[in-house]
Amino acid sequence: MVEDLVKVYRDGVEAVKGVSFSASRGITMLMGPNGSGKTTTLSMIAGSLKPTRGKVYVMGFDVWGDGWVEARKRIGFAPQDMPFRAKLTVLENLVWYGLIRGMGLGVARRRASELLREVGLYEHRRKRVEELSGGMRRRLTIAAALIGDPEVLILDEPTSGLDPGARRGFWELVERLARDKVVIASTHIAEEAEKHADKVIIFHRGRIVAEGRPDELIERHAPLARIVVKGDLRAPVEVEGATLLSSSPEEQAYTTRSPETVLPRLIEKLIEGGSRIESVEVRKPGLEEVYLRLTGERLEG
Amino acid sequence: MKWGVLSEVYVAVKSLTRQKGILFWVIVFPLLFYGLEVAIWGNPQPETITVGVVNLDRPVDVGNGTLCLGDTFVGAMRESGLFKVVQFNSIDQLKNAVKLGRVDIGVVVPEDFTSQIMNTSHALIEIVSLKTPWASYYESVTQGFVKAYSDEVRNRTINVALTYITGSIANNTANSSWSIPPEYVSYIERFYDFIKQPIRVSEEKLEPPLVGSVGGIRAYYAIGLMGIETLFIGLSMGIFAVIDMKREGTLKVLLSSPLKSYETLASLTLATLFYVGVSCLAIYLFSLPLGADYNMSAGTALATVALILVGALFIIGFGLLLAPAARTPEAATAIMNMIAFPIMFLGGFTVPTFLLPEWIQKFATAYPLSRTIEAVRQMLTYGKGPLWALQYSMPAIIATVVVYAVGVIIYNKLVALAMEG
Repeated sequence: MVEDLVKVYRDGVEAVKGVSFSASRGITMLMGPNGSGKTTTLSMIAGSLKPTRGKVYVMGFDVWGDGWVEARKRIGFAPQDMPFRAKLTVLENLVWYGLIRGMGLGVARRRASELLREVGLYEHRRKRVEELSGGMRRRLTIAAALIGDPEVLILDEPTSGLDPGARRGFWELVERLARDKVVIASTHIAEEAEKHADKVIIFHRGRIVAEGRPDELIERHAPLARIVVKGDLRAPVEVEGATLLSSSPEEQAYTTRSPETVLPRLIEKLIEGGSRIESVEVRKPGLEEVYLRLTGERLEG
Repeated sequence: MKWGVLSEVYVAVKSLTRQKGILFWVIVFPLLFYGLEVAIWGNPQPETITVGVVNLDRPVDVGNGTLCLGDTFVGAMRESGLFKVVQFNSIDQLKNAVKLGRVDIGVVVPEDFTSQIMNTSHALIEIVSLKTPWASYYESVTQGFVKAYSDEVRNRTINVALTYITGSIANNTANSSWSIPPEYVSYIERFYDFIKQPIRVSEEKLEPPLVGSVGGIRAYYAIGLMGIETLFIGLSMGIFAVIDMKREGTLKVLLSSPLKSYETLASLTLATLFYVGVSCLAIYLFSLPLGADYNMSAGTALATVALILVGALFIIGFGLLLAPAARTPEAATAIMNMIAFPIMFLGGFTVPTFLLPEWIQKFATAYPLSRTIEAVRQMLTYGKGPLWALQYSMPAIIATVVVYAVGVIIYNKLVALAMEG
């Protein structure tokens, strides 16, 4: 649980401005563009960055108070660029993380082997980390964060730099883990949050602008689908359930709650009116639109 | 036991042979350096000899003036091209200079030098030297010179005697009953004995500040090199501790772990001690086939380990004191080079302390790492006992406790600062 978290850096930049939220079992995703305060917030939750103000409780233990050791025992943190010792093998790197988490050498070795099987890297255990692909490295990152068997897993931009195939595989793994863990991850990709998060917290300029299940957020903030018609178009038409958004001789845009019922009637009326249609596109609302609606800015770029 | 404190040792053990940089600085560099030292300085050096002279000789009246053969002796030394002559006023001053290595050898010309020779009695030159292989070379050159001078005196004496005898025979040939007066017999006997070797040499061997053998010299340099490795590895850890962890991102992971900051420092310290230990062991093992001879026993070995440990802890702490100034890796490297190289030369690690100027000797005696390394040298090459070495190192041990403790405080502050972002 995070209460009124504030971070002002020494140079005066206020990166996080009073953030409060809670996360439970499943995947909670902090979504927002770069610089919106996600990484700073995750670092404060993980215990690597001291908040200027506010409280962070992990399983009831105050991360920045008396219970900091107990709290940190329950946290597995994977920063954006998880540090690995390039000359050590995959297994040895995990053993190192195990030692950092307070395990004995034997225990760390056993646990590292288990985790490598779980994340599908056991076959590569003798490879040096520098020989791993980006996707494999991400899997190793997860294994390193999991070595202490944490109840809370914190992943900062875990899929950045991965190709779509590797991303898919990665999220399958995280979804499996999230069945009995609290996973808090950050992303700037709306589609990723929409697909994999149980709860999305939208960040904008150091503040939370909305939070909830992805479908709830869409329903609440961007319920309307957009129909874009292109071609040699005559005057816009009126169809029940659709609202004209913009119009030009080449393109007309309509919004609607139910594109499935509106679309056939819209096309029919446009053709009746003498328009020659070249293409029709239905853009379903997503978290990207939610972000746009809430902030007036696009999420990516 | 908290296993976390061993995390960096684990990385150090695994990285030793795989990271070429570490392998080079911890093992290859000291071995190359040691090989070079043995090749350059491992044997006595032929060079111009700096001789310290105390000339106590008193002039003797000879007809129309005075004669002082001590002065001619010293002048001949100067002109020979073999020696650089430094004159001293007293024998104590001379002995001190020999001990400190300011002169290679000492020569004392006694006050009766001229009068003895004029009386055809043996004159005695005293040679003061150290019991070292270098000194034996200097002695043989100096003795050779004295012998040459002595031969010259003999030749001149014989010429004078021949002139006298020739005149005497000419004056007395008319007198067939002339014979050598009995009172001259003892004089003639003394004369013959004198001309065998007019000037004799006595030697005084001073206790050297270094064991007097080639094996000792090689052990001496090996121990110095252990000091250099301790200096570089320890200082680098201290200065780079926080800045490196920040750069690598390890700090974030450590801060979010249950490890306390002093435990992370303990972990880094242990890893550093591991590298220092491996390096010193490599130097020791490498020096044995190269002829290094150590006064090694269970006691001296244990004391050596303890003293190197103290030295390493001191230098780690010293590095931590400098760490706040190292805000970037580049700054850290600059500070490292600026500090380590002068200490390497001024601290008596590469050059024997007694060969250094007096003011640097004071630094080398006071600097805790130099002091512990000197204690190890005294034990392993000079035969001092472990208890003596520990006692000698006591100021260094106290300084280490203080410096390392301050270093811990600074480390904690730097980590806290890093946590602030």
